[in-house]
Amino acid sequence: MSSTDLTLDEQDIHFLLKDWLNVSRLSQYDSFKDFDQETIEMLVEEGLRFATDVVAPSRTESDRHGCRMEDGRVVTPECMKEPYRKGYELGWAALNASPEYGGQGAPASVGLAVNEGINAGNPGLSAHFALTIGAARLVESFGSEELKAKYIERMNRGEFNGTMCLSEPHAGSDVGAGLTTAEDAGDGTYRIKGTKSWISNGDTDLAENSIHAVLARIKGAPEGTGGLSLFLIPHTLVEEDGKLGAWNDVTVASIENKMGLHSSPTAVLKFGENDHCRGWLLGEENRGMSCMFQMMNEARIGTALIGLANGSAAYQNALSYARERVQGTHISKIREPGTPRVAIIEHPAVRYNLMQMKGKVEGMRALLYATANILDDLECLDQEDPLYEDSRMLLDILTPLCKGWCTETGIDVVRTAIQVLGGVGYTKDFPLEQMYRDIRVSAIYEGTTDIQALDLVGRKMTLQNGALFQSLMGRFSSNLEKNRENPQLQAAYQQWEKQCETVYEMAMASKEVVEDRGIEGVALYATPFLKFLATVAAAGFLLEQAVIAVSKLDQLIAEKAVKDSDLEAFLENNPEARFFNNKRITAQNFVDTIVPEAEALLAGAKSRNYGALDINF
Amino acid sequence: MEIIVPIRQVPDVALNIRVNEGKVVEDGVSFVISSWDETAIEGALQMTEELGGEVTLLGIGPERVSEALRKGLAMGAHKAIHVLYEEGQTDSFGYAKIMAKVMEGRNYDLILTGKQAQDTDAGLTASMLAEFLDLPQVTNIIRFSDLAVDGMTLYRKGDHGTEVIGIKLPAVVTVNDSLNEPRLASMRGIMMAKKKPMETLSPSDLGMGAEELGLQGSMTEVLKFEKPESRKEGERFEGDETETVPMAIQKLVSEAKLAV
Repeated sequence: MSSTDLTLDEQDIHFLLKDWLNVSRLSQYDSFKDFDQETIEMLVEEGLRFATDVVAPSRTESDRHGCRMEDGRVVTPECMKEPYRKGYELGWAALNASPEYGGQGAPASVGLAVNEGINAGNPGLSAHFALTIGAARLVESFGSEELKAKYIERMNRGEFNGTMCLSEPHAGSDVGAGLTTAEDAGDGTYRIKGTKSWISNGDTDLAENSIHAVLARIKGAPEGTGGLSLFLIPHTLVEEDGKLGAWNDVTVASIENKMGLHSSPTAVLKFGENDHCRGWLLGEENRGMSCMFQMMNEARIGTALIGLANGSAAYQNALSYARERVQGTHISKIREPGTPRVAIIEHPAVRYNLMQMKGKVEGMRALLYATANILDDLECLDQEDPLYEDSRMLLDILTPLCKGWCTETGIDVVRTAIQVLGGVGYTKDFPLEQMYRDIRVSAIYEGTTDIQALDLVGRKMTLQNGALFQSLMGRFSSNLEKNRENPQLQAAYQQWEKQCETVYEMAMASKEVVEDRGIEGVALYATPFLKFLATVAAAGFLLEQAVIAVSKLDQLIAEKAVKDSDLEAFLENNPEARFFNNKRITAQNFVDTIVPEAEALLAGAKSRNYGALDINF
Repeated sequence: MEIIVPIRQVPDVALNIRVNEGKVVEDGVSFVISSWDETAIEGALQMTEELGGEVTLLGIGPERVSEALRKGLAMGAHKAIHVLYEEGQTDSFGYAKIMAKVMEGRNYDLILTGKQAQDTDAGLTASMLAEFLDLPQVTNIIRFSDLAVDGMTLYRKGDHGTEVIGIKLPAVVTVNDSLNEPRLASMRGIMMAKKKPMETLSPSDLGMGAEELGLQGSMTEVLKFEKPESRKEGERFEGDETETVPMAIQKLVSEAKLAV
């Protein structure tokens, strides 16, 4: 552990995968039959080793050098080349991609664990891997056999880079306002014309070619998102024999000069400036938005991971620094002359910050790993199985919670970590200032936090007469019924039950708000509601983990025949026992301090304050 | 070329090793392949990639040693032998004897291993094994060349230079960690590792009795472990150097007993 090097919380990751989610149970299904417990453990260990040993060393240098334009193409920092190449060579970059097309076919939850490390090691590189897999999967789901054969395997090998192109200069969050057009060329292709902006990894020299998934409107199609179609557009055409052919009239106009994430070029792309850009339709005409949602939902989970990965890395650095940095005397001995100075971890204010960070990081991890686990269930379950529909609904409602809350919370955790380090945290001698810059965009791209909140209250909460929300509440109820009498967690469960009731009351009150103030009254407090619901969900998952942890701690105490008088020393000296005990403390602290903090954001909603709508700015 | 690579599983030195009542506390400790042995695995893989043949790993110890062997298989080794051994404290002599028994009747051209284990730092086992097997040995190599199935040139690191040694095979060779950068296990390698053969033997399978195992079969005994004292906090002298230098000297004389 170090205050500057990347440290990953492998103990928590393994606990979640093995003891909480029991991911190896998936090996009973054909899709994941090779993923037994021993294999999963080794994959995660070695994948995280790749992250710390190969990826992380590129992080600072890639930030300092950044990407640049040269002769109309993007040049990435030299230090990115080796981890990019090794990522594909060793199989970590395409961990979840389909084995049919050269991917590794690992469960999403295992992929998430490895990607937590890769993302913390270099979020820009992680974005290259994730976007390429996502774009390849679009081709797999919606492409013709010819397109599949031509592109997917080469994308999964990292020879081709993949992007998603939605935004335009005048169509950011309002995707339906896009002006890019497509005209049937009569030969199975479309002539594409338009400008796309904010394209992550829109061009790169890490791969031989870039394959863009682009939303465009076929001439004559309806306005809005309902008239958008999805196209595959290679930067350079690929011939029948696989060789790269002519340039496809895709111009890299510029890359953005950003606050952070300098290892991931954000490009403005111009398609068809010379009227010879060809695109291939993916899926049906005018169904582009619903096709693109497949990649957007994956990208939203991937973006949420930036919050967890960087928040966790920042917490580990701050924890290490707090143990090393000696400053001031203990507050209880401040008036005693000659009192030795102590490490700052002894100071209550620093401990408060560390505890907040620990709780939030483990809460993010719980929410995200639970969501990935649902993705795995969906991969394995028969669509006729009633659990399938329940899992799908849970996934739909958890996705905006993951994206909205984990990104905002990750930023908050990095900010707190800088606070623990004080002045040096603000310098480039430590990695936190970079993390703060890198992580900031996560709450903006792939749909801002407010867009996630609107998706939650305007769509997910109301879909199927509220069935998605009821599905989540059902999970809360079964957790309560099963565990509320746990003697060591009774107080925490009582507190959480009240918080679940508040969620329900707030959701039910939205009808009155609509009557009272229209839909804008609900939209006004959508983001605070998202944050509150996400913390309540994370608290429930942390409590489930705590139930397992206290049981394991009891077993350990019994096995080692630890006497009550020796318990304190046992918890101090046995890392496993300490971990289990800390899980209980963290869950209790989460429901006592972190959920109420999020609930407080809803004070305006509870008192029906509409000042922000009434004021004349 | 058939190469056997004895490996040792050791506590992860990146972690804080705790000692209680003279013994290393194993609770909660994670174990890894001793780093010099990882270098040996990489060296053996490079040799077989050039000349053909197979790399066989050999690990001695409790059940958890199979994890280290699987990792070596994931790196690319072809098969493994696990001597399931729960006898507790055993010294280099004891381990070398067990290894010699394992080698009996096996076909190999080279035994390649780390120059020492990361936990004991003894560096004796390979040399003792060479004696038991009556084989030539070269230790601490940093390079090899002129690779052939019956011999090679080895470059041995010394304090004041490098010895260049020709050796005939079979032989025992130990490696310095500057020999190579061990490869990381690939995902495909990990998935294939569990399908590779792992032979599990007990000491009795090797015809060894209690008198040859554990402390009875050892020539030395570790009485206790002690952790070095942690460094005391430094002291800072504030002021300009005309004041602080004499203060520091005074401190060195009075507390560190430095003679001036």
